[in-house]
Amino acid sequence: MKALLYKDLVSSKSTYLLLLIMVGVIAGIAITQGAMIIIPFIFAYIPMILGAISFGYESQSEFPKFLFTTPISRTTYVKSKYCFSVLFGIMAFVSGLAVFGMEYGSLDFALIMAATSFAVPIIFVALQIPFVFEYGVEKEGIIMVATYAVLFITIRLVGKHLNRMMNLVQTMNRINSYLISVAIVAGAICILVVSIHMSCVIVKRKEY
Amino acid sequence: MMHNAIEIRNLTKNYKGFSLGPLDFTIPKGCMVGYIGENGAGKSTTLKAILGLIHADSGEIKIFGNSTNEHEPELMNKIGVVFDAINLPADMKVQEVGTFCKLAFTTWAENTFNDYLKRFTLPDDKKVKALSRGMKMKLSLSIALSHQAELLILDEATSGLDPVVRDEILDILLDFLQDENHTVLISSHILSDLEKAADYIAFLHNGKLLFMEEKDLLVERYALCSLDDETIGHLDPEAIVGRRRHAFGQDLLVIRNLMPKSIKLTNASIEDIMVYIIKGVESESVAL
Repeated sequence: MKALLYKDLVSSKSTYLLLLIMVGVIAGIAITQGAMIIIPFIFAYIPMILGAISFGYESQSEFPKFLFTTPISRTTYVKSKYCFSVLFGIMAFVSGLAVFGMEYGSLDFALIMAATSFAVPIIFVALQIPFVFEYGVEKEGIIMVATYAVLFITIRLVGKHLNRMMNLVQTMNRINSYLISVAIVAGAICILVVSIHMSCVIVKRKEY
Repeated sequence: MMHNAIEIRNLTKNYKGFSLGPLDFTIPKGCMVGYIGENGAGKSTTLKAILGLIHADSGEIKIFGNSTNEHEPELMNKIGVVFDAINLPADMKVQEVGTFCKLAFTTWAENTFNDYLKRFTLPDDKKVKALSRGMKMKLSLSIALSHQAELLILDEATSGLDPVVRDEILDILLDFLQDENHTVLISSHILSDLEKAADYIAFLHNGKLLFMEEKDLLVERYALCSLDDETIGHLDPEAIVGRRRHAFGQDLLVIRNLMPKSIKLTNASIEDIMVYIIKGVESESVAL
């Protein structure tokens, strides 16, 4: 696993640097424009972009053909593809908790939004990765466009109906905001586990 | 004590328009086997099946006695692989490739790798994409030889390289074979290289293994001669393996000991044997 993460980092350093700059600029604009709620959603974009970069470079060099002649198993290879999504999911959770907590002064609301921010990158990547393994990087564009569209619409809807959402959350709070947050996170993790399993099945039957 | 590096039993793989096998052969430890055949004969398919990169339709492959059906990734520590392309991300530097391999192989020997880089004068700060084809092959070979592999599998690794580099690579393979537990399986179109180094030749044609024999016996068994049509008429048809017609008669690849002593024979190279068998008009009557 360490080997694969190392390979991802060193094989596309300049692209990652560019991505980091872009994220910094977007985050800067978001802060100065008072649209801090964008920040947790930036973390939803990043793992998808990182995934696309990694798959792109691997496809170019037919890297799996080399990889599977090393002691790294196909299962480890699959799991490595989900690492960044979990990492950025956690970052989205933490930033969501901070941003929504500061903006709306409600921990219950912040918790549910943070859980949602955690779930979004996980779910999108969970949809994207098995698709790429099955149909190849050439068709990755289709799922990328679809997931970006869904993400864009989600952000727009969240922004547009924030007050209504807050009311909904407050109603839900009566049930138990902790329980709801746990349910969202657990749901995302379940989807992740199913996605990893599907990807493992696909990669194990693939030929290189 | 396991005496075979690779055992293949009843291996088959079917694609649309091409079928490999059933293949049965065994590669003993401590030897170099040249795996030859025309383009599309199934050499790479066999090697990929051995490495678990493709799934066989039937049959069993054992490497050092372990069935690849229960493929243990750790087994790959013992196998060094060199393909015709390097298959590493183009933007990785040579030094980073070493670090990657150190993290991937549990038996990685960093000093050995660095020694090979020096021996091959490979600059460790250069990116993979900046290396020439020869350098890429040397890097690939350095990786294959730096994790204490006992079996080397090379698929067309020397094609496209100049004779000096090829010779250097062959020397390294022969060095590797100094250890009696080390084995090399090499597929190549450059048959003169195999002629120099291989102990056995396995000849694949249209997905079927025509023979796997000791190279020296093979060279002893077959011979070339050029005869007129009338003389050919008096020969034992079983003696003729392949033929090429020309204006003055025919060039024949023959089985030496089935030929009359009076006929002058010349030695056949591995290339002659392969070409005559594939192209020979009467290839179906090959007595192997």
